Amino acid sequence: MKKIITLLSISFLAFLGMAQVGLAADVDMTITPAAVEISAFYNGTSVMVKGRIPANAEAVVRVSGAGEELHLKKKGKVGGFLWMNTGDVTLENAPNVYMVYTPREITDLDNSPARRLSIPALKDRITVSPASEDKDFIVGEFIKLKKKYALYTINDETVKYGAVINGAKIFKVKVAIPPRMKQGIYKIDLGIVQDGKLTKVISKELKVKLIGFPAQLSKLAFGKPLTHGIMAVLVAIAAGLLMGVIFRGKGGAH
Amino acid sequence: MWHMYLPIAGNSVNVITIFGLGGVVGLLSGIFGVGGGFLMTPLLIMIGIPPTVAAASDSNQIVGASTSGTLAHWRLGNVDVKMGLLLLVGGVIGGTGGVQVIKVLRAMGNADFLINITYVLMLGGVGSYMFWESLQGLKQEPETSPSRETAAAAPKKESTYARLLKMLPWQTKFEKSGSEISILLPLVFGTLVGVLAAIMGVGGGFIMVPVMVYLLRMPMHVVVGTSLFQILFTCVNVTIMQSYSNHTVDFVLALLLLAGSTIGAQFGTAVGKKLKGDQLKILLASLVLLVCVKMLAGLLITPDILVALKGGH
Repeated sequence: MKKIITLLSISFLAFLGMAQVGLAADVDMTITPAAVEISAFYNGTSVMVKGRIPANAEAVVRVSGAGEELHLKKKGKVGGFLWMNTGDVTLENAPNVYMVYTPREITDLDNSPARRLSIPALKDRITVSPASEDKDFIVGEFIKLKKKYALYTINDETVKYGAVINGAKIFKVKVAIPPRMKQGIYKIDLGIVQDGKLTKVISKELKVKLIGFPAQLSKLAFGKPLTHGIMAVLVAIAAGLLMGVIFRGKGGAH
Repeated sequence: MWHMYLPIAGNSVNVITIFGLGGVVGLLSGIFGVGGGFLMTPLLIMIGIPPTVAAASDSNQIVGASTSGTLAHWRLGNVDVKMGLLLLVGGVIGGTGGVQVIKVLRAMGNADFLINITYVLMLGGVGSYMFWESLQGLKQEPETSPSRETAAAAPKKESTYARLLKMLPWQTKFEKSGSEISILLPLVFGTLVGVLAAIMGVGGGFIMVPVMVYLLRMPMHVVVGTSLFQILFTCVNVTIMQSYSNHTVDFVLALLLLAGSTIGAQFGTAVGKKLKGDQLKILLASLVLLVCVKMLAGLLITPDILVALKGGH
């Protein structure tokens, strides 16, 4: 009897699944949690990105931040042997975060289409001024810098697949949110690669925001910078005086 | 659990690491009368704090450490307030001028080259002279008390210098330093150190301490206390200005550093009290030479990455 009930339940669930595949679009993506909150003891977190793609496709997930203008110092040799800053360069439209998650190595991934989502593709997006600079070199070094801080990453073999139901398969990937990802709105893209082509990209937003003490402090520092500065100095002086009093207590006659 | 988020730096840090860093730098500050920015700022950058936030939050921390250290030295009678204030006035004038000088240098290009070379040569020169001089002092008179004897024992040039000093107007008695010199001296030297500090982007403790020892002829222990007293005011000014104009003071970071450094400064003062003037000087000279070597290494070793974020943005 128990067996029959179990069988019936499975068939029902399978039917439901089929119905959903038939009704909804064949691609979807959900992010859990939908927003990341930064509180006083925050040290980075992760979000789960999952959804459905066609069974014969591959999923590439990309997290990117807003493009920003950045001023960099270029290092070079002076007098043949001394390394120091030899000039300033400005990058525009450089995303503050760029993380790519793939089911296997991106070089295997049907070559060019998936690469359009990956880090080397940034060279087309970022502009470098002055224009006389060697763009490939500057962007290459900039990518190295971002990789060092784990803000630009390629995470191969991280997208996992689940059951295939009626031509659709489940994918999921755990996306790391490093503590260096500041408050802001980030874009999560799901790229579908099919038969060597990037057939579809769907996007959702991920909000990262300060709450509680960090939020209040940030508000004070940017909203009332003079009050913030004076407060910082007074607290520092008070801490120094307090320590002085405590230590005199210790060294005294008691 | 042991991490805290820094809202201005935009990163999280391990509480214990920062506390320890603060402690070590506070200790150095209590012993030698330096702010320790030369050590703290690069270490903070290394653990992922943006350069501008590292420098500004460190000056906030130095306010606490130098308050703690000044108080401890005050009790030992090591703070020459009059001298400190005159140096401070000079420092403010020099600092303001230095900012203009650096603008001109930058406009001319090659500013970094000039700054780096001056810095290395000066640290190397001052460090070597101090090391050699205090070594002689230690060899000749193992029993010598922490004072100016070694400076006075220097060659003929010194006496010409001493004669020159006596010719200057407005001679004033500086009781704690045990000397009578013109008030122009601390003003002028304070201004020079202020210019250099602004150009090099450092607090100037490293330059101020040798200036007080060799040019103002102050006893080493009074130098340490007076230097801390002067640094306190400089860093109050820097902290407020940085917070106001650049929003670069991370209060959480400064608080964590403070917890360590104010304790470190108290221990530093106790350690310094047990050392003789020449011993203190030779240790500080070693530290200065170490910084010099570190800077040279930075200039000679090929960097891994050939671009860096600009400090001012």
